[in-house]
Amino acid sequence: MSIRLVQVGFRYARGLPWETQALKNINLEAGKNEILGIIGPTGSGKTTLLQLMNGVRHPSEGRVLIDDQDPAVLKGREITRLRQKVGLVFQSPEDQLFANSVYEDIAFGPRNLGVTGSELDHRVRWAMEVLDLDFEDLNQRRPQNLSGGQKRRVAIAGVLALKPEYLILDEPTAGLDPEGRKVLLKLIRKLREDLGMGVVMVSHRLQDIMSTCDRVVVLDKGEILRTGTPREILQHGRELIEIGLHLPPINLLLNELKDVFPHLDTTLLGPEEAADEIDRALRGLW
Amino acid sequence: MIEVSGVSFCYPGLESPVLHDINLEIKPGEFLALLGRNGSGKSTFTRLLNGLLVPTDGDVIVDGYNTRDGSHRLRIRQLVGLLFSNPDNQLVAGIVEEDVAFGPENLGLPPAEIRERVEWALSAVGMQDYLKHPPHMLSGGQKQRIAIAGVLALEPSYMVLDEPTSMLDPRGREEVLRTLMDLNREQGTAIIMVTHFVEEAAAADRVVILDHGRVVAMGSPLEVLTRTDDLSDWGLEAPEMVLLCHELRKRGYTRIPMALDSRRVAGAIKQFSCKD
Repeated sequence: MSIRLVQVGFRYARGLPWETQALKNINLEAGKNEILGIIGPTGSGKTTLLQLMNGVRHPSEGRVLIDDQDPAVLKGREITRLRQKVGLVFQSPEDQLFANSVYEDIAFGPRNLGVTGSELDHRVRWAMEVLDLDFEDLNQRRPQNLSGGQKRRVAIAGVLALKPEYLILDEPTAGLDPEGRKVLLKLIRKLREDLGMGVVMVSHRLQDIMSTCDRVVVLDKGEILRTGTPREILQHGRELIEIGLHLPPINLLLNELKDVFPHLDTTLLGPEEAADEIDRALRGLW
Repeated sequence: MIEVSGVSFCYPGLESPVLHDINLEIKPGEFLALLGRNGSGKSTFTRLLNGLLVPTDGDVIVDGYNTRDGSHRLRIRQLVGLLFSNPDNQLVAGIVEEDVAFGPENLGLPPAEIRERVEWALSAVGMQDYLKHPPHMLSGGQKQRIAIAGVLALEPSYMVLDEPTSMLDPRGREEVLRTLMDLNREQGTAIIMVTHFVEEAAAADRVVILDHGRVVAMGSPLEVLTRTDDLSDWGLEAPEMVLLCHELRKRGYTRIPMALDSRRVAGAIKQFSCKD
C-alpha cells in the first residue's frame, strides 16, 4: 500500500505559449508507516508534486497510483473515496478556519462526508486527542482566539477527522515559534509511530526535515536530484548549497571545515554530535 | 528618539494586561530586534509605537510627540511606519508604482514629488525595474520589498516590522533582511523588527526579549543570544552556533570564542588545528 508516481510529468498551461514544465520523470513511492520529506529551492515543483499525490491535479505524463488505483480514471463517488485516503494540509491552513468553535471547524469535513451523531463526535474527540488539543478546555473556544500553534493543530485535526491513511503537509512549521514547531514535529512523528500513517512533508527548514523524516527527496528544476536517508542527503551538503538550499548552521560549519579535515562527517545533526566529531578531528583520532 | 516609559497595555474586556511596565528608548538610526514566544506581547508592542494602540498606563513619546495626544496622530504615523508579515494583505494597487504612491498621494503631495519618492523608495529596496509590474505576479520576497517601499515613500524615521519574513522562503527572507540592513546603513532609517528567527536577530545592533509581557533581556546580540538556559526558559532557541561553542568549551576548548556566525567559528577551529 503506497502512493506511487510512475514517470510523472506535469505541465502548466498546456498548449499555450507560456507552457511550463513543472515536473518531469518523477518516479517515487511514499509508503505507509513512513515520513517522507521533500526539499528543493523555490520553484522546484514541491507544491505541484504534493497536489499530484492526492489527486487534486492529474499528471500530464505518467501515472499516479494511490493504493494501486489511478485517480485520473476514477469518477464520482470512487474518486471521493480515494481522495479521502490522502489528507492534504495546505500552507498556513489556519487561514481556512471559519467556524465559531473549534468543535464545529473540525466536524465540518466529516459532516460533509455524511458522518453524523456519535461517530461524528467520536471523530472530533479522537482528532483533538491525537493532536494534543485538550477537548474540555478548547472544543467550544473560537479558533481565532487560540495561539498560532494551536490554530495550526486545529486545522490539521480537521483533515485528520476525515480519517485519511496518508497525510500530506505543505510547510507545516512555517511561521510558528520554536515551541510551536517542536510540539508539531513531535506530533507528526506520532502519526507514523502510533497510527502507522504515511506522512509526506515539504519544508524549507532542513533541520525539521532531517530530524523528522525517514527518507528525503531533493527536487531541483522539476526533477528528482537525489533520494535517501537524511544522512545520505547531508553527505552532499555542497550540492544542496549549490541548488540554493540553506543547510542547517551546524552542517554549514562542518562543510566549511572539510578543507582542513577531509574525513570529517558532515551529516551529523545537533551540536553535541558535531562537537564530538570536531574534537576527534582536532585530536587527530581517526 | 522613541521613549517608552512605564507602559502597560490591557485589551478592553480582558482582565490581565498584555504588557507590563515596559521601559525602553529607541534611538534614531538603530537596528533593534525584538524576540519572544507567541503571546509574549511583541505584536501589541509594535502597535503602540505608532499610536495604532494607546497605552493603558505610561507614555510612548515619538520625537517629542505623545501618542496619547490625538492631534499629533498624523505626524506620528509619518515618523513611524508599520509593516506586517503578510505582504498580500498590504498591497492595494494593480501595479507596483501605484501601490508605492498610495501613501504619498494620501498626504496630498504634488505629483512631481510623489514620482520622485516612488522612484527613490523602489530603488532603495532594489525594485526599480518593476515599476509597471502587477504585484501579484512577484515572489513573496519581492512583494514584501514593495510593501516596504510603500512605507518608505512616507519617509519615516523609524520603521517597525512585525515578523516581516515569517511568510517568506529562505531566499525571500535573505532579500528582505538585506534590504532592511541597507536601509538602516545607507538611509539611516531606524529598524525595529519582530522576528522568530534568532539568526535574523544576530544582524541587529541591539536585541530585546519579551516574555509574558515584560522585557526580560536587552543587549547586544552576542550578550543576549548566548544565554542558552535563559533563552529556553523564554520559549526561544539559542542559535545552533552558540550551542556548538558551548559544547566545544565543555570538551576543553575553552579558548573557542562565542560567535553567532558559522564562518567565525570555523575560522577559530581551524586556528586550533594549526597550533597543534
